[in-house]
Amino acid sequence: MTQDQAPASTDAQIVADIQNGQTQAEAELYRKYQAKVYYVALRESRSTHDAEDVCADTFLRVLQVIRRKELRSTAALPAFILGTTRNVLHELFSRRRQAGKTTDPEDADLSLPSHEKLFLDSEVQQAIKQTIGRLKPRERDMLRFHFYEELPTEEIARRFGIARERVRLVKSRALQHFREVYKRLDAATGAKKLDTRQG
Amino acid sequence: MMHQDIEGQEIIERYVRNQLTAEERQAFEEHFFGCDECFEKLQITERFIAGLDDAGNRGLLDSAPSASAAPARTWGSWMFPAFAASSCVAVALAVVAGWTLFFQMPQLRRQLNQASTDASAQREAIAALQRQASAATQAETNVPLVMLQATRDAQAPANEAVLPAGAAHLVLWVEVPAKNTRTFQLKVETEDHRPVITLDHLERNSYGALATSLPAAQLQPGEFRIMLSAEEPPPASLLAEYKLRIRRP
Repeated sequence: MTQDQAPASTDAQIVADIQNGQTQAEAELYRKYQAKVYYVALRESRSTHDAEDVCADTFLRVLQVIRRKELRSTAALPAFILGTTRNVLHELFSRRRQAGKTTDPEDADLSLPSHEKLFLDSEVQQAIKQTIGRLKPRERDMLRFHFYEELPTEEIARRFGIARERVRLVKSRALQHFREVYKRLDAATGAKKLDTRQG
Repeated sequence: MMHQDIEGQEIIERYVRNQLTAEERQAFEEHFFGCDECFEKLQITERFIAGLDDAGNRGLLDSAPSASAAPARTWGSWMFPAFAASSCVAVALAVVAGWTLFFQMPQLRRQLNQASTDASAQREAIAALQRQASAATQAETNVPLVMLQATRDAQAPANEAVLPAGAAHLVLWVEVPAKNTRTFQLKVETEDHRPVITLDHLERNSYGALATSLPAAQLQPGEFRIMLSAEEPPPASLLAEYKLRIRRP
């Protein structure tokens, strides 16, 4: 099976094509896993700059392993890429510690933004505003207690005198509505993709 | 890690909020690296929670927005409810006006016409009654009256009464001779002894006389005999006899 016959290549096909020297397969591998690697790197480092470096280093190492045909199983390719990402991050934090810079997430500088802030943009704010606008006051309170004041679901259910599942349903509906609005806005801007962008 | 576990244990949300154990976190990362569907949900959940956190900081999650949330209220945010409220009022007024014009007004008009018709009929009835009352009053005021004088002489002239054309009654005024009698009987006969009318249980009026009326229709022109008898207490007895001549102009 060639790439023309199957645009969405399987991991086995991608690996085989890379090992056969097809550079397009390397791009395919990058497109398929770049967002996930970048996401984990950004989440851990809380820095877009570090995340870009980790992403580049990870794919370089993965491609070297595939080219040298040292990958033990194509079925384990996702786990291998994730493991490589963690290794690169670990090495990054080790170097920083040795250099006297504590950028490990556990010891993160308070001036660094939380990883949640990295996902906040105008489309998210607009979609959240529309989502909140559709909620009843009671449902809005539930979301505030759960996501902002970080009360457990059981405590919220007790306060409102409702079943735990009811709280989960409110959250689920709000998330679903947010998803629809955000996708619409994101498609309208045309500049962003659902996956995390670099930079 | 199975999708069922991810959904049931809210793994994605807990991952975003750093609430998973190290083992759970590693298992989920391995899962979404091979599962585009879960990764897409993860991305959305990240943005959803980031957006809610930001909204909480800005007071947008308060059920009763405080003054700090006031900037969110733009012209549009209050103009729309105001316009909607005034539109609702206008529509309601239009409905009421339409209902009044097309349903209530014709009904009221019909009721008014009916009332006018009834009032006209009542006015006519009242007018008729007034005419009757007026006529009755007129007859009553012009009722002919004759004071009967008793006589024992057969040749003596009879009491005479003139009954006009519109007269309905003739009032007889009789001076009563017997003071012990409580009630009286008055019998009217024609000259040839045919009974015309008999009035029983007559009592004196405040003048001590008997005043009674006879139907004019039964008093044709001519002479009549009127006999007054004592009724109570018994025994009955003839007290007086009168002659009456009726004339009609």
